[in-house]
Amino acid sequence: MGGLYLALSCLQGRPMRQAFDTLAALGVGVQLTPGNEPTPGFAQHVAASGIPTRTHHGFVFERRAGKVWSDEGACLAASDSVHPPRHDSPAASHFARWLEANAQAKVLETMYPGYCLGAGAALEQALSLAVPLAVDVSHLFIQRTAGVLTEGTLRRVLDSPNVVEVHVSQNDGRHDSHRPLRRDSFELGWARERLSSGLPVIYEAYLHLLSDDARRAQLELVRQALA
Amino acid sequence: MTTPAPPPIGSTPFALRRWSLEHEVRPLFQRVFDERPQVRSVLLCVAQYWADEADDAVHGHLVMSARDVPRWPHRCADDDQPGDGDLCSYCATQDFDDPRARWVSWDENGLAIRCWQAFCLEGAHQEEDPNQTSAPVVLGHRHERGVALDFVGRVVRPWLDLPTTSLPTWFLQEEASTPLEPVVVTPRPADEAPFRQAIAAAPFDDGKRLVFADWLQQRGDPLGEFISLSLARPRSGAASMRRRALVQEHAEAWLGELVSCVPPGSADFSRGLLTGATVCFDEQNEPLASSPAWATVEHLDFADTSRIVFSRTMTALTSVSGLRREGVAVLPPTVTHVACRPEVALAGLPPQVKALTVTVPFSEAAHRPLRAIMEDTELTRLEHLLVGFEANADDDSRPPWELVREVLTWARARAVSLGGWSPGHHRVGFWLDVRGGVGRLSLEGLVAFQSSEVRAGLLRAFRERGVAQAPVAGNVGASPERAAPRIVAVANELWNPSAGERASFVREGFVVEVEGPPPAPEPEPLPPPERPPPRPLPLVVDPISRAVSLPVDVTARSVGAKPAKPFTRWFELALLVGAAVALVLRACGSA
Repeated sequence: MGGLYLALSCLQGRPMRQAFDTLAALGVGVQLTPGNEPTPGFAQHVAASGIPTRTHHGFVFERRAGKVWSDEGACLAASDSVHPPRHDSPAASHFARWLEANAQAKVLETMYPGYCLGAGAALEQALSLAVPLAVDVSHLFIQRTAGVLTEGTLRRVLDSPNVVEVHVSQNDGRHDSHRPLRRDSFELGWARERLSSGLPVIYEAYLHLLSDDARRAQLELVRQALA
Repeated sequence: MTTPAPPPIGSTPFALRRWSLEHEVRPLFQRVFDERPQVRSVLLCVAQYWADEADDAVHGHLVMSARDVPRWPHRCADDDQPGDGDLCSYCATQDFDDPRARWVSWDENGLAIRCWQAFCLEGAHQEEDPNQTSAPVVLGHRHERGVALDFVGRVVRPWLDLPTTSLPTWFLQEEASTPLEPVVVTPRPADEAPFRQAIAAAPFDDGKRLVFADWLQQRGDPLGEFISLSLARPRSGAASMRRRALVQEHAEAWLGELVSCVPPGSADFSRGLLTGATVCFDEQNEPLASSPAWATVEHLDFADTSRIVFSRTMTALTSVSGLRREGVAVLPPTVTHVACRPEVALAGLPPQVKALTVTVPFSEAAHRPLRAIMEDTELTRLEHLLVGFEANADDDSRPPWELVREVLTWARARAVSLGGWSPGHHRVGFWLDVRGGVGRLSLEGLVAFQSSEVRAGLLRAFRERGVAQAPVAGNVGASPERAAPRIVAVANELWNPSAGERASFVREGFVVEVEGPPPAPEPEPLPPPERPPPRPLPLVVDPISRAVSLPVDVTARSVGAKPAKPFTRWFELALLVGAAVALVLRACGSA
């Protein structure tokens, strides 16, 4: 389902239920992500809330995170989208084979150096295999800053019909630090267009230190066109 | 000597932290003291920030000082500014691999998470300065018997310091089936009951506690010694050290059944028995609110995640923080001090509440709620207002000095305290406490938050407020309206106003006196690491066009990478020499 979502990790570290209720009160959906403290009965609470939800990567209701990739390269997560393996993980050596055999099986997120799908060449392969992609524009910014993503590949990724999910946050190009958005955040305009076209757009910046008004202003930044 | 194995990862955070303090932190501090004789104190600071993978790694670094207490925030010396005389893990050496930097080498993705995450600030990230990301947790001093550890950390996220707190994500991804260790609560002996009942009936009578302490000590129960040490006045340094060791060892056990709702890191045993605590009530542990163990609790802090629950057993309760609207109607009649958000206070507080603490942003956003409090007719009965300005404000925030002046003006018939709050809601930086028209100015806590600016602003606001309540001695007959405001500068190890500073107070129109110990001589700053002389840039000037260029080494590693080490390893040299000798010998042999 399309629309604007807040990642549960926007309040990472907090109990799941409290984070969910705080984010849901901002009037958008919630993407359930790993990294929050489990709360008893949270699954029932979510089901009863009526809030649109999606799941991502290693989210499980009972623990802070679940395993996503087995050492043999199998994807264990049932989430709507997942990260590909890290290069230093046992699963990474099996990933190319997995991709060939399962190209459309899972929505994979575009990452940054250190991960599979973390550079332009890997993204080109994913495009050629028509892999459904969760495009994280802040990760693509890190790839650009690191010099591993050409403008051409970037444009092909952003224009691809296989983009099914969008993630937004701000960083300095070196660390995936999930800072609040700015008006000039990388490809924020493109993310807005995708939101308008009906794709789910996930806001992922950390909101711990922001007031309620500031949080709402952040969501407006995603919704509104540039003045 | 081999280090004992840590408890299982599923042990309680308190048990793991107890192990970490003894087998990671203490030896680390000892190595610092051994290697740097000038260092008298060391501060361990922790930070948690996540990458996209929900890495919840807890990072630690040290601040080493020749002072009694390291400066926090710490200012590293660099080319642009002198340091503050202390050294930290980042600035202690030029070589990142030099062990003398004393990086904290614990397992950041393992044990350290469960030990320390509750003390870490929220929302920290890698691009921030360590002063913004980190929170001080342990202060170490040299001691004749080794290292004296003082736990100075404040629980910022109480729900992460409970036995039910989940395991770290990296650990779970490797061994998902690891359970939490069951928490065994050993009930206190039944024959303690008469003593505890007597204390519950008279919670502020130290005599009853001392009788209980004697009885416990006869039975070899460490709680007895702890109660005696807690109530002893004056308390020697050795007694304080012993007391700290006892609470670090036994706090979780002394909580008894309350361990399921009180993070041990927040438990305050200042009067020997549980005196204060942060509490996390939920659907499952709410029945614990009726425990008789609450009878000695004088102040209660409700975590953001906690239900607001009171019970008849909370007979000594006088102070509550974290109060929300749903708790106001059921506030016990013994509670006279409340800490809450301004909107909760404005919704109405019971008449017995005489003291109010509010936290507001350190910016313009503080104006409306505070003005509303001062204009509220119901709240005019307050005898003391404490305003804490959040100390984690952005750099662009400016203190609302106009608002500070208004608060001080409102305080003419009341006591007012103004200053900075840490994220753990403890006093940090400069505080102005006004009673009877006299302002006591002090620097508190380990965090000197914007210290000089805050101090100057508080004094300016106090002076501009106008008038002392009582005539100043020596100005008999002078109109009170023209009496100079009095400042008592409370000196301590963090701040001791110099003669020059005292003179500046007088120039600003204050009558000033200094209260506190005589000034201690400032120690020599710790020697910073030697910095290599700057190398001139290898500029190339074209002899014909005179164009200047800087050749770029395309083989150089990216910025931030560790520089390539010169050939200094002795064993590599030995190998090379050995290989050369072997070649020579072989050549001689064949010849």
